[in-house]
Amino acid sequence: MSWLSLSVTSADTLADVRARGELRYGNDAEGGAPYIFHDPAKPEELLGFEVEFADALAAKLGVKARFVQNNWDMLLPALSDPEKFDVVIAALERTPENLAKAALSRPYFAYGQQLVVRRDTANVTTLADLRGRPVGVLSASASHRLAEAAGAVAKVYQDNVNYFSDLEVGRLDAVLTDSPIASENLKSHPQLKPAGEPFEPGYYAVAIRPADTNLLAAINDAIAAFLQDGTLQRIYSRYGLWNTQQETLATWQAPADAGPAKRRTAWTEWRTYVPMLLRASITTIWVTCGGMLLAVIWGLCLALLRLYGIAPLRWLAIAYIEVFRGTPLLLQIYFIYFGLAQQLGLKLSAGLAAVLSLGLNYAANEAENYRAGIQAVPKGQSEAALALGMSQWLALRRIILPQGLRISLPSVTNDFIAMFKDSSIVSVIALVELTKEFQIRALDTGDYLGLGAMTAAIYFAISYLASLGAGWLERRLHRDRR
Amino acid sequence: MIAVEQLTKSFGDRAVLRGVDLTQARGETVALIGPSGCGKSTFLRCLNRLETPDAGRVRLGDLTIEGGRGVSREQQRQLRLRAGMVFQQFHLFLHQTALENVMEGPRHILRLSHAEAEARARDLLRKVGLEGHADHLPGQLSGGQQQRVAIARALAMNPEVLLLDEPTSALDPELRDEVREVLSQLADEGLTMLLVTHDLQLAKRIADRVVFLDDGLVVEQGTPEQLFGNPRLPRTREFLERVH
Ligand SMILES: Nc1ncnc2c1ncn2[C@@H]1O[C@H](COP(=O)(O)OP(=O)(O)OP(=O)(O)O)[C@@H](O)[C@H]1O
Ligand SMILES: [Mg+2]
Repeated sequence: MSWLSLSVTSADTLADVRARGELRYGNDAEGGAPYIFHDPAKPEELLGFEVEFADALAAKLGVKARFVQNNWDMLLPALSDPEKFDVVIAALERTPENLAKAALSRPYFAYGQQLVVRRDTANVTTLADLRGRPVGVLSASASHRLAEAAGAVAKVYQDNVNYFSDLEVGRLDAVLTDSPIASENLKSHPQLKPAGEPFEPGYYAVAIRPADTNLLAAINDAIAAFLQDGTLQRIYSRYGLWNTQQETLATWQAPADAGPAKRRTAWTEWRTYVPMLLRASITTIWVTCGGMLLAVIWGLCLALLRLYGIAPLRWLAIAYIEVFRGTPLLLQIYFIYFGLAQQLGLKLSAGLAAVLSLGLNYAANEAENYRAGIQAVPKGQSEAALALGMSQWLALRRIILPQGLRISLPSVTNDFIAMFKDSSIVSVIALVELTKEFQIRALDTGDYLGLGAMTAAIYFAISYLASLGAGWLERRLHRDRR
Repeated sequence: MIAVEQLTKSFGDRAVLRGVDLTQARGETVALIGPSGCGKSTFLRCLNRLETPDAGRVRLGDLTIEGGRGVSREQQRQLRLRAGMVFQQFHLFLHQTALENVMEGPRHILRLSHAEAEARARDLLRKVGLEGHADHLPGQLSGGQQQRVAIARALAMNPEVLLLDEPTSALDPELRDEVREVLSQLADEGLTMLLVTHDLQLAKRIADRVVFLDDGLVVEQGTPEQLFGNPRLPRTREFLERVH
């Protein structure tokens, strides 16, 4: 087994597995059909060819398989923790990049890259036809690398589901994905069609901790046996996935040069990574500034409605504030970006949806900050203004707000700095901001430490500049008071 | 000039004003005295409707306003424009300098030009002896200075009557004289003032008439000499003895 060139120390995970009677495998149930998905009839049960493969593999080792949920992005980093799971069975590609991070079994599944487009799309058969156009890909996948290399604008998604809806509504011109995902989703998306043939063959392999050589050998033997006795053919046929490509698995040989790729680190190649991170931080900055601008203005309207509005408007403002503060920002982003597009045909761009979500959410916080500030203005101030002959509105504008807003300013600027960090959440709608860029590059290189330090430094620099700005603003307002 | 008829006001089931009558001529200075909690502040606040009186009538010059809630905002504003108010705790606008405090009304309520408003404000600050403190914020002024700015702020609106609620009570004794001085000068100039005070020295010095309020009713009134020298009712005598 020539691909087995990783460090060999005695490992007893196989013994542990047998003693425990359980093979724990990491996967992400969000992967969806045909890989792993909840049985629509019995939602607590999992289906999918990977689930059945894992079951068969465990049975071959004389134990039961147990699924452990983990974010797909973080499966390989999590594998290094023996407490979590023993192996990863999650459509992991057998690439030099992955070989640098874990030991990989011989392939259990063969696939190709498939382009998917809308039915009305003409003249797209290869990636080359999509230069400069938006193409949906899974974060840190082979598709991602291929799309970038071909000069397409790669829109990075965290899962295999949402890019098909964005393709349908027209936010994307194509999706590049693994052929099983394409064939499964084409069933449920009649408006979409495959473009061209699958290309760039690839293989899925089981990932194992490098020290677990016994387990690796046992798994390789099991896969070989499954290819002999037709177990894999039986499983894959149930999902319509058995094809001539799979037949090549039996005679598969590791490429002669397939040693682990040399690890790239952030420090040796900082000239590549620092500009990438800086470019992504521009997205972070404008999303935050746009979101905060909206939050500051809309929050003030909400605070005034809540404090001084007539009853129905006051109730609406209270309801708004409670709902937006009481539900997760993530949910609101999904609702605004995917929900509005699917239900109302309101196709917001990812940038606009990000600014809207952050702004609408933070507006609820700012409204409460303003309210606290306004209520902290002594009652005598408004009495003096009214006694002078001011209308309610004039007293508010000239006397109450200037003092109340000054009181709330520190909380508002705190939120501004907090939003820089919160803005990383918009990566779920295919917006590559600083944290997402970090994740992508860290998965590429495995250098979480170096890239993490660079990313943290950029966040720190931004926050520091922002707090300097806030301090300047506060001092300026105080100087106004002489 | 001012005529108050049968003014009543309750907080919950506590009747604070139980039918107060008061008339005051133009140019007259009236001092309102009485034990703590007898409703003096409430009475002043009902006059310019910082509190809404339950019933009764207030006439101020050509304006007549009935008690209760059925008063338009505009009427209420007209009343407040005619009746300036000076508070025990000054309530200067904390974000504005002395000059800005005095300019605020003329500039934004009377809508004078900036230059006119500033000229008027500087005149008034000079009058209360604070021309050198125009650019100071309230926090940088002593209590006596703040109260003089507050008086200037009220005067800047050219009110027909100035209502003052214990203008010297929040001040250290040594700071009271500067405010007494200003008020006495205003009285001499013929400003109509209705003054709530525990400061009998001030009342003696500037009041044309002293009104004794007790338990929500006017129980006795007269010139300072009469009321302080020879009060008619035992209640009044008792009160005066306690205050001295
Ligand atoms: N907003 C209010 N709600 C309820 N009760 C009030 C309110 N304002 C005043 N009162 C009550 O009304 C009564 C009269 O209060 P007021 O402030 O008019 O008295 P005062 O004569 O000015 O007393 P002091 O000399 O202590 O200033 C008091 O018993 C007070 O507790
Ligand atoms: Mg009082």
